Amino acid sequence: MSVTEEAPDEETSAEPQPWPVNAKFGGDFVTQLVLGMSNMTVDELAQEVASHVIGKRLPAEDLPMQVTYEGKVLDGSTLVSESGIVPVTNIYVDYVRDTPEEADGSSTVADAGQHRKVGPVLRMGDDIAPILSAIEDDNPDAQLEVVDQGAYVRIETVGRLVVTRASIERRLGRPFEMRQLEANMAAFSGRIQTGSEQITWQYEEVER
Amino acid sequence: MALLKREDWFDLTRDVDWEFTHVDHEAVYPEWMSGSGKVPIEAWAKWKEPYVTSYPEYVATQAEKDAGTYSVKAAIERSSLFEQLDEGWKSAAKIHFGGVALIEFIAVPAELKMARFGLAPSWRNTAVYGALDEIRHTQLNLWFAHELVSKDPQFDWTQKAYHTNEWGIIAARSVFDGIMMNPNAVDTAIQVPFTFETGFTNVQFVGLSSDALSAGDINFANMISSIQTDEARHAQQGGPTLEILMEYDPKRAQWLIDKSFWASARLFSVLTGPAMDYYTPLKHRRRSYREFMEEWIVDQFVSNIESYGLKKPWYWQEFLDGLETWHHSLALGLWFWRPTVWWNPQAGVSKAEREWLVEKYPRWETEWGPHWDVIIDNVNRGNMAATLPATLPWLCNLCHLPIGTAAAPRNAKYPIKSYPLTYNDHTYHFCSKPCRQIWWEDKDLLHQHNVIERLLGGEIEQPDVPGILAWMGLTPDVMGDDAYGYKWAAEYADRVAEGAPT
Repeated sequence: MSVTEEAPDEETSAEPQPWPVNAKFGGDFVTQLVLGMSNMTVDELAQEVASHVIGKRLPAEDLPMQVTYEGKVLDGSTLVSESGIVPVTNIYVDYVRDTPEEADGSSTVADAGQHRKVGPVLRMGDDIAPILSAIEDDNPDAQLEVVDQGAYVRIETVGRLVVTRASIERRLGRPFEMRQLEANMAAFSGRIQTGSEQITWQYEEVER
Repeated sequence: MALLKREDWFDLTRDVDWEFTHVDHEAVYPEWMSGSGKVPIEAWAKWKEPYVTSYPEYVATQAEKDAGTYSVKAAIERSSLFEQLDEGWKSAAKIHFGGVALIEFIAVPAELKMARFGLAPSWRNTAVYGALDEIRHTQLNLWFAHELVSKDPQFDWTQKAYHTNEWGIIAARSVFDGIMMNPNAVDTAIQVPFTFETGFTNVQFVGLSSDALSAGDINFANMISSIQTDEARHAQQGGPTLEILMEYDPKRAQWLIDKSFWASARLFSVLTGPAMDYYTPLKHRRRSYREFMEEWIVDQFVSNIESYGLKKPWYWQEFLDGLETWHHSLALGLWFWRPTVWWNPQAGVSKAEREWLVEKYPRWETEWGPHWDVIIDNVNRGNMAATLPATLPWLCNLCHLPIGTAAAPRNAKYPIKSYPLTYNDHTYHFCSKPCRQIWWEDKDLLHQHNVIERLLGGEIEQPDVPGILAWMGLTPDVMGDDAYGYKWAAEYADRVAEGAPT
């Protein structure tokens, strides 16, 4: 892959020129820089592309290859300089085979959309259990969803959630300033309102 | 000491502002730095921070946080916990340190820009805390990694990575120059606090902390989750800015979110995806990358943007589909081009790991299995030369990741191809239509040459693989190699013996 490398001067009158292309070999997973030369044939360029893929990331197959450029299959015996391939554009090299081998690529990822849950995500530490208890005390009617991922615990409900300093102090059994919740809260869902006596999380719907 | 409640005095101070008599407003808040756009200047007076902190509270809380993280570090330093960590997991930590430490530092001037040129006093006040936060994060990352340098020189890239032309760093720098360094204060507030810090950083700093703790890296888990408690606060500069922008220029707001979300999603497929689904030891994986992204981005972030009256970005389905493919492509690419990175990629394709991957990603074997099988057989034959690259992937002119990594092989919906664009007689290549679209609209902000252009343009003195590695700053002592010394391939050795060509 050396741009400055001198290619042997063959019967063409002009000096051979480097002919870099953005090449994909059929079935491979990336497109690559492949340095062709103007005096290569299209078939030789295809072999050069294949050398970076076949036996490295795809098995060799006993099939002929073809080069497609701008949707047209090129004649393999043509010189690269006369093939119409413009340097730094895309070429596609493929084994010639009958059946396409592609599957549908649709996602199975669930697009959950608006779940509208609100609440804090507490990080690893000693105070997770008492803070959770305080949240339970302050939201007796809420259906709480608690997901424990070890280093973090997500506490959520739909609508609105509140926690008060008084409840946290009662559960911790020691004085607590509301600002101290920050050191325990790695993230939250919903929008937050912070005060000295309580913190709330909720979504304020914006009508437009 | 009896203190006044914050509510009893804070409103007297949070909003202190004055009118200028000797200069006009534009001289103090020039449009190119502040970026008010269609929003009348007086409209910014409504800016109100939802997550309130006063300076005394800030100082007290931050001191408590630092006492927590540094005392754990001091205790663990004296143990042999680091030595017991899995090599794959260490690579996840190395990606984080090299890829993130100095982004934290880039975030300092981004916050300071809002602290100086933000258009409301309460906003500027909040941004001051943000800048102090980001200084703390830079220091934490640099200091936590520093003690590891003597144990493993790859941790030196915590400090070094951003000063190199390593391709992944070029990709990261391009994203953060685009969303943090170049834009005005309003654009920065929407792109960084709102989009990046309430969405993506949660995946890396909270999601990954659960894998870290599970893998036994208590120190790292403690550090990153402590960092995110700052982010949760200063990220709240986004909401009030967005609310005002939505009133006067919703189209601009949507575009800022759309483009910064896409760029962030592309970057996370290399920064976070492989670390979660390949490098974290199988028994310690709490969730798959896709599941973490569903939790933090698909559910939480989308609820957030919709509550402001915004729409999902135009490429939403393509992003969702990409959660099943992009990072697998990058994990394979990182392993195959392993000398080009500063960590040791874990292949993550033992038989048990492949079963897990298929369970989480049903098309995994069809799309990625055939490539790994060729690699595995080459390893087992001792043909190591065939497992290493002799050229580079072509890189996208927007996200700077290899072309093909926003797609998948044997996938009809997202075929491996380049999406080119010829502009002023130069052909640019893109991994996807959204990357091409964003570049086209924003080429003045996001126009950085990719590694291939630099190579063909003669910027790299010795244009072969060793020369490119030297240009990227990769020295032999840090260049990536297989995390487990290829031992994982041994369980496939029989298969090679059966059908091996001689």
